[in-house]
Amino acid sequence: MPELVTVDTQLLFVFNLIDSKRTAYIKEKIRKYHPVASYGAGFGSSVQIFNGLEKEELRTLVASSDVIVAPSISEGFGSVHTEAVAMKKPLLTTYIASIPEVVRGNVKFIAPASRREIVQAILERDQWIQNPEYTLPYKEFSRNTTVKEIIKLYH
Amino acid sequence: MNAIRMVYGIADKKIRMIHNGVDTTFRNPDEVTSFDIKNWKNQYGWNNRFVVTYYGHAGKSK
Repeated sequence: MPELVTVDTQLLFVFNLIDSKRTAYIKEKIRKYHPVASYGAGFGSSVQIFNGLEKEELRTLVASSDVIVAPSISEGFGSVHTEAVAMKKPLLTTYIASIPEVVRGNVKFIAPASRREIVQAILERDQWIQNPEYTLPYKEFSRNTTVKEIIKLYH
Repeated sequence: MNAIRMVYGIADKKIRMIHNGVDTTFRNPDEVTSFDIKNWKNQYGWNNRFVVTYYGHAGKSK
């Protein structure tokens, strides 16, 4: 989203990527549009990239963020999505597959694969963040409940 | 679940939905103190910024 950082200098985009085949490609793309993107602390830059933080650090990163963006174009369940809303973070995501079924709290839905809608939702964040009209009812997905349901099914 | 209904035509009465469980320790906001957040923001220069975060896999579907 190179256009966003030029129109809104308050924005800071943070990535914590799990290492995979595409990670290097994604980082290269980020570097192409944001040559000053930093790894970890990068005062003054608009993009920071972290590499597979451990669970406790990642939890602090999420808790310290203002919004989580997870615009999947397909999803089996939505672990990141459910984690983010459980952490009481506003979530910008797509209205596809399981996501509308599993998220709760402050959520803004956009169309899948729409760069324009991501940009617009971030620029117009004051309209939906902390807005009760964008609040979905409480849902809970604990591992204990899942295990109990599976045991019940097979016995 | 809709895919099973629509693509395979399985009747609802034959479907039992059990969602994935998630890590309740990780996702508990009470595990992070305001002190932790203040430290993090100082350490990484997040003060006075609006922080937009993506985390997870970098696959095409994400």
